[in-house]
This record gives sequence, structure tokens and C-alpha cells, in this order.
Amino acid sequence: MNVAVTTPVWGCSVENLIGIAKLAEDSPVEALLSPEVPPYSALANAQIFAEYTKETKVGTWISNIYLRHPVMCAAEAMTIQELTGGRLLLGLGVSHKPVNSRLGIEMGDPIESMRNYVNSVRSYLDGSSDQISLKRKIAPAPIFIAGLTEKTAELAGEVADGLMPYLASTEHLKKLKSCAEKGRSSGSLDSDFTMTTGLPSFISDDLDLAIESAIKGLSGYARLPFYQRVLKLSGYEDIVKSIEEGTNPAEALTPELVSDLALVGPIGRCKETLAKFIDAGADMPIITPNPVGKQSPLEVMEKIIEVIK
Amino acid sequence: MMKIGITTPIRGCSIKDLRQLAKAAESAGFYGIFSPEVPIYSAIANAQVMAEATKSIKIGTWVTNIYMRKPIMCAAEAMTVQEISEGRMILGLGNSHKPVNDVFGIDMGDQYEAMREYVTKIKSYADGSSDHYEKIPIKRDLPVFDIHITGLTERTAALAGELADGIMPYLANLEHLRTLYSSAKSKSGDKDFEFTSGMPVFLSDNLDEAVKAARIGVGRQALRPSYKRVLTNSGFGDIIQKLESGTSPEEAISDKLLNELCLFGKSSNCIKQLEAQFNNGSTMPILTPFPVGNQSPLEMMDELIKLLD
Repeated sequence: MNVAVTTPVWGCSVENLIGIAKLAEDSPVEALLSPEVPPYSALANAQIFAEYTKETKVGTWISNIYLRHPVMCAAEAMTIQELTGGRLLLGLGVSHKPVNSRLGIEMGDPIESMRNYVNSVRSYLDGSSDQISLKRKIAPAPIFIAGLTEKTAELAGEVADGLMPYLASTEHLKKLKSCAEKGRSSGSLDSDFTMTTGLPSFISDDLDLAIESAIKGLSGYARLPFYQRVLKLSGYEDIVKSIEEGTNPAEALTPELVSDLALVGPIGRCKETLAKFIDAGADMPIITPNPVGKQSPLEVMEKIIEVIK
Repeated sequence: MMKIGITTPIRGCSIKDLRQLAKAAESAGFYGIFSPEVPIYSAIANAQVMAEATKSIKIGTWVTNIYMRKPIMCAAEAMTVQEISEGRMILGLGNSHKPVNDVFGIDMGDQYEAMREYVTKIKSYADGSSDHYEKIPIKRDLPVFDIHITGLTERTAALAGELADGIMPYLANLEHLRTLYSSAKSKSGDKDFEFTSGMPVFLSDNLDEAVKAARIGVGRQALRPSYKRVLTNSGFGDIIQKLESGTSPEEAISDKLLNELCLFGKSSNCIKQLEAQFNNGSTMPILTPFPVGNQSPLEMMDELIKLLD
């Protein structure tokens, strides 16, 4: 079972990142990935993981394509790839309109922006770009795309090495996988394709508290248009409609929704949910840690490892 | 104590070499070690590698291209190096060169205003004063890092004095450096401010080979628009004209230019020139090593260390 874990979405200290990386290295965790919420850099964090691991894959989940020129994204990725001897997974995404707007970023057509960015980064990584006179002899890292809709899943199949959806139900995951396969068959890439799925985790023996934490924790996501769309596509149109009409997401989200889309509650319950997503086609579930009560980042990581074991 | 900084090789080197160079520079007593940024290398990723490998030497960039990252990502990555190094980060920022940026499809706009806006934003992200944090409340509790600006003209030198903590000119002779320092000082007032002076270095006991390498090395850089300007302002406009008309660097680059702008030949013969930098007002010469013959990065470092003997 290949399961990846992310570090906390809202960031943590370098000391905690190192501690989590060491825990991951001594566990069955396949890959340790960093989110990118400024002022944290996913690539800088992944470089820290690279310094403190020997076997665990490291990567980004996910780097915002609008924050770096593709050549600099490739340059930083190559440094991590060199540090790790080829263990980098480069996750790329378009982030969210409200986030980018606040940073003065005009997203244009996100699908076409992503297509161009991935193709550019790949050409720098494999040395085929004629813009670069300096060459680094490093094996290209696989590129993953964050995708919540069928169109982006198809694009991932066509130009990337994997797809990184988040908050998708098992049924929606199956559709995305099918679209990625369609894209693969129409593209020219012949590398292995990895279907991941992002699963937020709220692990605790206290189920009520875990559900409460999950509703609170996921309510922020439910305000973002892209996640509203994936929730609709996952069968939660009514809940999203209610939020769009002004209901506070923390009141609109239900225990059923969070139990369907996240790992919530005691270890055994979380293992069962994880198994459902693997059965639905996830080659590598990606668990994002969230505290229940006053759990520290390291305590949350220890609980996730228990679920994976 | 005389503060002398050095850079890693302009055209990049392996991570193994970066680590060894940083450790050697620290042991030898250099004040700081800085990474250039020529794609497909990232100066900040390199600085992070060097921060991990050292304990006391200043670490920095010389210089990061402001068009390659959004300011918040530049700040985020610099903050990670600052955290890893426990406060040893110096972020050098520059506009790079039009021919380089053109290759990557970058519209530089008004370089002066672009730099002003970039530095202002980075400072606000680093010190927590940006309104970004009103929506994303994840400030990092770190001491702010120093920011230096490449300043080759009086106007940009004044901008450095106004906004930054230091100036990083390159290829300027003593007289032009005095002009730049004066401009910076007119705006920096009483605040701590670093007046650096970047010098290309071609060290070898074989003087003929060193001179040849220096002529070719400087000749290759001389025709970049911003260097053309600084060389002209340093009194070498006639040499620029010769190079532009097709004269080879070996013929066009004069002994006078080499003597005024570079360190070359035997290390022990360069001490007086280095002292002249301090006597001229430089608080930290930054030496950029170029290979003479087939010198490896570590062999170039051995030559640099002889300067401190």
C-alpha cells in the first residue's frame, strides 16, 4: 500500500518539518509532501525533507504555478532531485482565484496555463529546452497536476505523470481516473501514471470531537470555488447550494460529508475509509494532517502512521 | 575584522561541491558565501543547501532575479533559509539582464520601479506588515533577513540606500564605486548599510593563463547592457566599443581594465588590490571565482583561501 502524507497545510517550523521527515523515514509512508500556503514554499520545505531522509519520496502538494517562472520551478525541483538521488514528486496546481487575486495574479485560462507550465517545466527538467545553455545531468522528476474536474484529469493524463485530486468522493475519483486514462491514450507520454487522492485526516478515539474538528477544518475549503465544484461533483450539490446562499460552511457541512471525504475518528474507522479509496482506484492516497483537540504536528503524524500500518 | 564574501561558481556546480565550498569558506574565515542565479540553478535553493552545511558563515544570494518569483514566494524561500541558518541569510536581488529575461519571455517593464515594488513587498512579507496576513494569518516568527540590491548606477544605488540594507555593485572601478556609495549613503542615512564590491577573480600561479582567462571571462560579461553601462561609467567605454565592433576579448580587454576591476594571477599579489577596496569604502568585497585552465570549483576555492593567509 503506497500512502503519502503531507505536512500541515498552514505550515510549521523547520524543526517540526525535520521531525516529521524523520518520522516518515522510519515508517511505511511512501512519500512526504509539502503544501504551499505563503509565506511557506512547498519546494523549500521539500528540500528540507530531502536533507533528512534517505528513502522516503519527497515532494510538493502542491506548488502554485503562478508564483514562480517555470524555469525557476524546474531549477528548484532539480536541486531536490539531485539531493535525493531521484525521489522528488513535483505536484503543480493553479491554487485558487481568491488567493491569487489577493497576490495580484491574473490566472488567465487555468487549464491552458497549466498545460503550458507543465510542458515548459518538463522541457527544462529533461534538458530539451533550447532556452538553457547550462545542463544538469539529473533524471527528470515526475510531474503531478492538481485536478478536481474531468477536464483537468484528462489534461493530467495527457501531459503529466499523475493526478492529485482532493476532497473527491470515491465515485468522483473513479470518473477522474477514467478521464485521466482517456487523456493518457490521446497523449504521447508513456511513463507510469499515478492516481492519487487527497484525504484530510482528523484521527482520534473521540469520534464526536473528530467530526467536530473535521467540520470546522473543512469549512474553510468549502468557501473556495474550486472545492465547491468538486463537492458538487461528489454529490453534495445541496450543501454547496446552501453555502452559496449564505449558510456558514461550519453549519452546512454534515458528519456524513466529512466521513465520506476524510479520515475521521478512531484508527480502525480511518483504515476502512482509506481502503475504500484504494478500492476506488487510488494508487497513492495522500493524507493531509489536521489536529483533533490539541494534537501537535508530530502527534498527528504518529496517528497517521498508525492508520497506514 | 575585514569582511570578505565569495560566490560559488557563476555557471553552477553540484550539490556536493556546494556543500564543500560552503564548509571550506566557513573554516577559512570568509564572512559570507553567496550563490549566483543563472538558470537552471536557483540561488535561493543553493543558499538553502549551504545553510544546511554550515553553522556561522553568512549565506546569501548574489543575486536573485526579481522576475523569476513572485515577491511572496521569494520572501517565503528566503525566510526558510533564514530559519535554517538561524539568521544568517542575506537576500541579494537584481533585475538580471534583458537578453537573459527576453529568452524566458519576461517583460522587465520599468526596472527601477519593478525593483522598488519588489523590495517593498518582500520587506512587508518578511516583517509581517503586509495586509496579506489579514486574510492568511500564518506569520512566521523570524528575525528579518537583510536585503541587498545590485546597484550599478547612481539611481539604483540611491534606491538601495533608501530601501535596502546593502548594495551589490559589480565590475565598477574604485572611482565609480565611490560615486555609487555616495548615492547610497545619501539615502541610507545612519542605518547599518553594507557597501559591497563585486570583483571577478582569476587566481593561479600561472599569470599568463590567469590573464587569458580574465580577458575572456570579463569579455563574455562585458556586452550585457547593464555591464556595458557600468564599464562605461568606470571609464572603459572605448573597450565596449571595440568589443561591439567585433574585436576579440583577448585583444579588446586592456591591462588597465583587468588591474582596476579584477583580481588575477598569484593570490599573494592580489592583497594590495583587495586592501584598496576597503580603503575605498567597501565594507565587504565579494569575490567571484572563475576557473583558470581546468580548475575545479574546489581548486578555485583553494586559491581564494590563499588570499586570507
